[in-house]
Amino acid sequence: MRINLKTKIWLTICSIVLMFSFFTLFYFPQQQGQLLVNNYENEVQNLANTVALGVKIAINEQNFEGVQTAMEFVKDDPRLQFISMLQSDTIWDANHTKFQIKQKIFRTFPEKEHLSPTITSNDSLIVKKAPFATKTMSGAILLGFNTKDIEASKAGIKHTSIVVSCIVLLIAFLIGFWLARTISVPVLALRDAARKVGEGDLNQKIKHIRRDEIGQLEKAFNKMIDDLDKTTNDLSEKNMVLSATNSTLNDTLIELKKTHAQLVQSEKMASLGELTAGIAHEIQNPLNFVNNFSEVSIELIEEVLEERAKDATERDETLEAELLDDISKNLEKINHHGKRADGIVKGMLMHSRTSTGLKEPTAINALCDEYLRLSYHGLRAKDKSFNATIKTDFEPSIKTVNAVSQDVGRVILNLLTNAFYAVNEKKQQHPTGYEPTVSVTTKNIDGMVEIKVTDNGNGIPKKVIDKIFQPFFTTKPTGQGTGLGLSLSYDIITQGHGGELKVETNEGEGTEFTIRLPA
Amino acid sequence: MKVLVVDDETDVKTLFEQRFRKELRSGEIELHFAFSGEQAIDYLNSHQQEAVLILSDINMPGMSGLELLRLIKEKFELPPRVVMMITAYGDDGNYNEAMKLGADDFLTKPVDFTELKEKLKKIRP
Repeated sequence: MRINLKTKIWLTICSIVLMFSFFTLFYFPQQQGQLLVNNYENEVQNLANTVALGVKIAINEQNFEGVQTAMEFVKDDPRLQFISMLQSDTIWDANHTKFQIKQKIFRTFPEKEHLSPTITSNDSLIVKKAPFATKTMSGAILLGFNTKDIEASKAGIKHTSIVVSCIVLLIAFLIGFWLARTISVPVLALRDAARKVGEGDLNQKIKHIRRDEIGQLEKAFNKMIDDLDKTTNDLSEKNMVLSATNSTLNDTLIELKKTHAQLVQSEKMASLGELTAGIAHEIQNPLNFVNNFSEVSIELIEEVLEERAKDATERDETLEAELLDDISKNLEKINHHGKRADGIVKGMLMHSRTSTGLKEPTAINALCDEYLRLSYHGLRAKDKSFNATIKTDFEPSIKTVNAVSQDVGRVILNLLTNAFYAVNEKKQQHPTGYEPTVSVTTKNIDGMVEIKVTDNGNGIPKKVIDKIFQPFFTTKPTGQGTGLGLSLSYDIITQGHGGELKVETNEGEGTEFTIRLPA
Repeated sequence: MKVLVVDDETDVKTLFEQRFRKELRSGEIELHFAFSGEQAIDYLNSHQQEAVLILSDINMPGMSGLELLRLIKEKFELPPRVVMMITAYGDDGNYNEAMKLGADDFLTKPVDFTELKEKLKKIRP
């Protein structure tokens, strides 16, 4: 059980007082009583001796009245119970070899007391014997004093002790109580104050500081409250500053997100711009065929009509058949090239549109081919001296992959643009016998479709290879290249399609990017 | 006159054959086609004495038309041939480069066949 401070102090004082009480109530009176008894016995013995002496003298002087007087020496003492004179007779036995001493009562005062010579002390009586011996008689004086006085004294001492004890006990109680309170009250007050401070109420400074150790505690407590107040204020201020910083950061974050979106759009536009020249060229070819074959077909029809206008005999029906066949083939070619142009335009439109993010079955081989041609021609349109050998190896068994085709197309375009840029850079260094080559291959591996874009350019230096996928990182001179291509490509492949985009490179020899898409 | 036409688009063959059908029928012209610079070189190597006129596209995958032009002027000087570049990229850069390498003429796509036939008439030996 928990004993509180108050009780501890109280119990300590009470134990001390109880020990004291024990002393006063038992030990001390007992000792006193013993002393009294001893004194009394001595006194009685002395008196007995005195009387015995008187008797002896009296007997020696044969003054029998003296004996009486001696015996009456103590007769007025109120404590006297009896005084007896004993006579000792020696009784020899018949053979005179052994003797017995018999004592018998000679005289007693007061006379009415009947005693035995062998009487001894008891609780209420002190009996002392004082022997005497004369020529004529030997004996002893037996003196009996009662202990009434002593008992009374003893009782008195006990009485006093009890009273004193009770008074002391009472004082001790009071002191103990007061002491306990003086300590426990401020301590409990401190406890309550501390609890309130813990709950946030700093208005708990102790007003009247005591002058003892508890007072020092109270002073320290007050100082602690001051320090706490100051710290809380500091923290409040810092909190406000942090809040302000936080909201600034929030605003900045929103700005950044906006800017990011703009940059992504501008990257799209940039890559779109790269495409435009290539697309223009790409469209031009089919359009040329459409125009040329249409014109030629018109001429051929005129020839047919000429032939038909001739007489039956002169008509060369074989020629007519040939011409009609040619016209038919031409129309097929016109159709084919028209669709080609249409496809290119559609592709360009799709590329510029914001991606819906919807995955559709996409013919990967066709996608690679289309963007390969677009990127090649686009670069040639920008840089007339640009040239490169293109190698393709499309695995025919690859049908379609669920993908956002314009996004994947953009990735392929980006990789191709980079590859072409790399081989072009190397070419500018005019190494002998260098044939810039870019190859695109597709394969089915482990249930995934793998697209590899390989170039034999200068490769990617070691110190740069870790950064190539980072946004805004570019090795191109300022103004060319936003540096977003690879980072967006990486996001499209990994996050958009759950695929992989990896790079392997040999400095000075070339680079290979590998896309893997779940089929 | 033997003419070698070099272009990566295969339909160019059909187009030329139809556009020059009269000349082909009359034997004025013999057309051969190569679909890459490399194929053209192979042809020239195996038919040394033949094509005297070469019509070449400039931008082809692999060996470009300008590269072919250079090779023809360096390695196939005899018999002297006329080389004309036909290309969609009709800009000054290409033109100057072609002329520097010794091209005899420079035409832009879409080909004006009437103009082309006029030029061919002037060459005819």
